[in-house]
Amino acid sequence: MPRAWLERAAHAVALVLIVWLLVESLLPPAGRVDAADLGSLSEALARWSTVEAPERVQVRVDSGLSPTQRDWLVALGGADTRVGWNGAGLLPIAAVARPIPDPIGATGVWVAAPAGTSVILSDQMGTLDSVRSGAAGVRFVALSAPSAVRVRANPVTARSALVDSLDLKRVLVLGSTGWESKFVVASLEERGWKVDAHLVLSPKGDVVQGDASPLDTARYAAVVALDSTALRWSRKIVQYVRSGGGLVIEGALTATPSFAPLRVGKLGAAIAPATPFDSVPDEPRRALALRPITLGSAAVAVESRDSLVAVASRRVERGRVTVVGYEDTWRWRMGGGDGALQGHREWWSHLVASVADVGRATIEPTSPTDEAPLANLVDRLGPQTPATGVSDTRSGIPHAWLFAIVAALLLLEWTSRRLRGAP
Amino acid sequence: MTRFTFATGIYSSGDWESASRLPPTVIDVLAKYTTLDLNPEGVNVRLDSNELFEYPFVFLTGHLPVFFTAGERRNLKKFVDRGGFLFVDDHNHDIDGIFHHTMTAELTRMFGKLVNIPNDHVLYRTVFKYEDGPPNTSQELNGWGDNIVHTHLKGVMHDDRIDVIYSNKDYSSEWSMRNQTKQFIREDPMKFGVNIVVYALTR
Repeated sequence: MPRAWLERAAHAVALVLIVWLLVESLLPPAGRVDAADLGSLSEALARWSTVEAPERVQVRVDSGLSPTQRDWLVALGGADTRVGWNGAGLLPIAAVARPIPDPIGATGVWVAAPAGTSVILSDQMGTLDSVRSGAAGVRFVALSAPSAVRVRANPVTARSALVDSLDLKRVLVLGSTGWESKFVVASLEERGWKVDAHLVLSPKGDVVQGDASPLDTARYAAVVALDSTALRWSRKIVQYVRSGGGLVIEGALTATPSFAPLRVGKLGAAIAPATPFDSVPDEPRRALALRPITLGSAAVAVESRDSLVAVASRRVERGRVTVVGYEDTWRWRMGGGDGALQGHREWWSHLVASVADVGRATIEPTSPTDEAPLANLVDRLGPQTPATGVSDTRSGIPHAWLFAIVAALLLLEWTSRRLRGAP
Repeated sequence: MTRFTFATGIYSSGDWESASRLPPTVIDVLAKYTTLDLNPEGVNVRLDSNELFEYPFVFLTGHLPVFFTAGERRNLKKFVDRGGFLFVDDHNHDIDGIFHHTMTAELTRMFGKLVNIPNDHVLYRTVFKYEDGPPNTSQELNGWGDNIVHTHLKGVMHDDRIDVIYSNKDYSSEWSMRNQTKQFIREDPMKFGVNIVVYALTR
């Protein structure tokens, strides 16, 4: 008698399970929530996009999504699956790579990252440099001129690629014949700039290098005006800057009425060199005489010595002006330490580059970019959502197991009945 | 702005001061033909001193054997590498002379083999035009020294730029005696000195 009851019970349970499976298969999958972490995300994305369509997915992001994964999740969101994410360790970093207007063809990489973060720059060939971020972020100059870079601040990686190339025009140097003009021209040429020069020599004639072309933005990326002899071109220079040209100008020259529209600030009295050459190799320009600049409105300090502004810059309509307070920078090139020659070239090239009016041509990025991973994630998927309430249905009994249980119960009932001779 | 100062190099061997009347005449002629901001007096600067790097134009001359010290060689190499300009003149005007042999050996040791400066180089038209290359001196034309009229200056060049001029033409004598000879000479021989200085200041 108990055996018959057991057979009936097995039969009943099997029927209940069959009905439950039937009902579940007929009901829509509303309320399904699935979760994944980065390790299982690739497999989960494929599943969510093919055999399952959960109402909501929650992704735990500990080290940044790849652009492909992020875009896939956005696409899932467009297909009526609510996508949420959470991650405690994501650093808010951003990186952008741009060509530097320098004839050596370097790539500048500007990185925003929390102060103190260890930042690693690499390109397709491997690691280029690493540094700890300061309060204002990090600026790298990659002399190998990579077209695409990766910036890693664990656990996040930002990717950037060049989107334009530069067309560098010529530089015009104006001044009197002397050591400063000679060595400024030499350093710029040795750096790779194409330089025209008009150097005043005598009432009967000047020393002219290059074409005597009109001073306009179509030919010149920048003008370097070294002393008062440039006053004879003041009207043209002011017009050139207003129309978009760049100007690097010796400090005292800006105090003249002719250059008043380009004034960056007031110039103080000359101060003797702070130290002899070589005494502070990291700050070689301390060994130059300086006329400090008191900044005017709209001007910014580009370089300071102690608390004194040595180089300042401002925008003037479409152009840019940089004023140099140092005097006789050629002394640094001639008398400085081992790095003086290279340093003088780089410094003058950087001054010119900072104001240069360069042509830009758009190019296709050579690799996918993700310049601000966290910001992009928030922009595309919204802010973080808490992981509470997420239950993974896959943790329950799978349908295959339920089917096996049903089959086993029915087989048990059939076998029992046959053994006892029941029909 | 720094004034141009005519600097004569002091080396430890030989007679570096053999043309002591030349600097004032060069300064005088620069003042006559240009508006360069000039130091009215030249300076003598030791080749092995750091002071050398305050004067990017240095003149060397002499009659006697020249053997630079290690310090002088090191400084001169650095001086030229940084963009300094060296003007060397053989006061003997004699390619078999001891100054010529020893000085060219020293220059070759520091900078490599001296080359002929092309006679159409921009040096010859920087201010005054010299269609046939370097102007001859009365010492050459009178047959003094080696009795040769030298058709080229020699030098150390990179690309088209001259770093060192080496002359066998004895401008040291010609220019030193300008005050005595200028009334007998149609063309001022010092004009080529203007070209050399202006070239050094602009290229």
